[in-house]
Amino acid sequence: MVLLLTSDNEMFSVAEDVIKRSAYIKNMLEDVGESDLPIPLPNVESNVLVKILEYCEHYRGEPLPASDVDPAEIGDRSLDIADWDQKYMAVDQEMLFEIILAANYLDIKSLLDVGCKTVAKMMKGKSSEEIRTLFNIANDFTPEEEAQIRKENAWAECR
Amino acid sequence: MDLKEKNTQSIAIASIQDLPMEVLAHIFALSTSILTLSDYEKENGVGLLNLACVCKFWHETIHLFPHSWPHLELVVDIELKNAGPHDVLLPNLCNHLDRWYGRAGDVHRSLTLTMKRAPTRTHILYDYLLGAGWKALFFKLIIFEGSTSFPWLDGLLDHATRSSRSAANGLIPTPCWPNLETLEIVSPFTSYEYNSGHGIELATIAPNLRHLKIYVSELHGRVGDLFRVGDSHPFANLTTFSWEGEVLYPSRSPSFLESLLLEVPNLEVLEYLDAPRPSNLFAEIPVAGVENTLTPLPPHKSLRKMSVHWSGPTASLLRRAPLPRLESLLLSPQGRYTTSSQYHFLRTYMADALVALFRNSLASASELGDDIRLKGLHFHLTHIADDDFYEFCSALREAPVEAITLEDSVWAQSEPEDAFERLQGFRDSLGAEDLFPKLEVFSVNLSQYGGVGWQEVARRGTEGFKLLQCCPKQWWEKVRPVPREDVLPHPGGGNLEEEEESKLYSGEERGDVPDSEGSVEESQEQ
Repeated sequence: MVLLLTSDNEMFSVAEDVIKRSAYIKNMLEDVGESDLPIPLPNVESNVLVKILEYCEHYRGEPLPASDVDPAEIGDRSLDIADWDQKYMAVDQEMLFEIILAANYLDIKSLLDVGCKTVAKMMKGKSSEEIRTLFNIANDFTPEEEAQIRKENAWAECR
Repeated sequence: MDLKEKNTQSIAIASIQDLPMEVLAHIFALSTSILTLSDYEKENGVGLLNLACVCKFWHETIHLFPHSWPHLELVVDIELKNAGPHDVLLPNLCNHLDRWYGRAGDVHRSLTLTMKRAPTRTHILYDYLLGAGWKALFFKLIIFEGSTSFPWLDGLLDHATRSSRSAANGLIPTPCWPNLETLEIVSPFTSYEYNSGHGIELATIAPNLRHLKIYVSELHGRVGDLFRVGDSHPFANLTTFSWEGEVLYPSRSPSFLESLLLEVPNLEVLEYLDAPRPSNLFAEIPVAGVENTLTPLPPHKSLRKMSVHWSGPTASLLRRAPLPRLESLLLSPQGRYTTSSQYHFLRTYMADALVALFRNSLASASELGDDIRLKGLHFHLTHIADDDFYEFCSALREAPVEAITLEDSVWAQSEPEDAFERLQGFRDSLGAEDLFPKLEVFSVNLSQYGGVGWQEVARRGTEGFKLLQCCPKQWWEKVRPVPREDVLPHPGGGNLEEEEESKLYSGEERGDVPDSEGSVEESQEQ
């Protein structure tokens, strides 16, 4: 079993084959070897870790994705998400981004990918203004700056 | 104070702004940007540009990470021409694409080109689409009035072939798409016809292709011939081959599927849904006793996923090909059965083939010092005859299958309960605790049982799953839907044979049985 200590000082005892889906933990275990000391996770709160462990438990035994994928490569651009993953990601926005942050920190590539796809799906087909409303983002462009950006990318006149 | 800090100060919750730039860039890269050409009007590529206008932090992120830009979807909603206003439109389109991809720097490009009209050949665009910069090309033709070809794409492929040959240094052609890894042609309403000896010269134009997907309505020809020109091998580096479309002239021995397994060692995903007409169902079942047709193939050590129509050639292949690394198998039917006797024969033939596949793959994996990995089985309208049921279940039990999906399948009798009764009999004969010891998920889908669609999923760890493992008949009685009294039972759910009977016998009355060469068409014409 592996001991994990969250940022709010909660201790979790987790089976090694479950948490090894995290490349960060996996590498740490390989570097440090067996130890009774807990692994501190200063960036992950207990409620988020519970959710992360639910994911790892579900995919226990599944082969780990290749770690040598270059993020700049054109990979799977489909926004298809497996049924179970969709249900898993049916959380409020705060938790969704907490999961993505934790997946990024713990280096759980498949979970990070599902999280990113979920957000990309939320934005699909929406205008800039609708996206700002969706994520509560302030527009810090002046109207002139926004017009300039649109102009820079405009289609060259051809008539 | 950076842009991000400034932007998050004014708002209470903006968790998306807490994401690191590289994660945000990954999300942006998943967002499809679409450029539409419609009625001579030009629209900006939306998607990514909309995102760039959300706030300064996003604008900065999008321009900082080049991998946001390499993919674009271009939708052409007009009939492209080489003259008139398009004299200007096409060069401008290419310039616009150049500017778009220019932001990606040296990253290889990907384009999805969707055409909603049947366009003519456009050489300016053809020239633009050739080159070492392309990594993935997706062509979609969506016209509903039907089409007998895709002339724009034919023109592009001709252009690519000529270009590769004309650039030849000596006798060796220089591929025009040396870095192309993915090619998809989706044209579901096109009946594709090609002249013999004039196929797509993949080996010449894109020798490093890894993913090939073709989806057409039908092909007047053979799939193998479509890509093979001369002795050059078109699929040397392929890892995914996906074909969907009725093949009007199925290949003779050795079948195309067999040649893929023999000649494409890195193939990991094979989808081959060729849906031949029912008259071709038995065209290629090897005649019993002909030894060479049943010669075992060498194990294919890469194939992980296979989706095929069940047919004579498929059965023959599964029977002979050990697939020690196969993880997932989907079987789906093709066409309709011409005669009752054919239907029964094929069903047994298919069950035999599956049993052979499980056992050969198990033995092959063992020889490789490995375990068989077959985890997922999906049967769609795939039936196992009563006589084959026990042996089939025994073989299934030996394979460590973790997920079984039966979609209107396995019901050899008129009702599913008969199949579950037989499953109960098999379970009782085992003297073991579990029906299928490695099973994790068992799913039954009935499209129209009692007039309505129905699905039941039993997962390990649940009471239902325990009941299924020990008492499958009882499980079925517990979960089965109550048929609606106002709707007659539909064959799709359990009565397939009954539905077939009328067709089967009418088929027999027509004498609609293929001869030994499988040439039903000829007999019909006669």
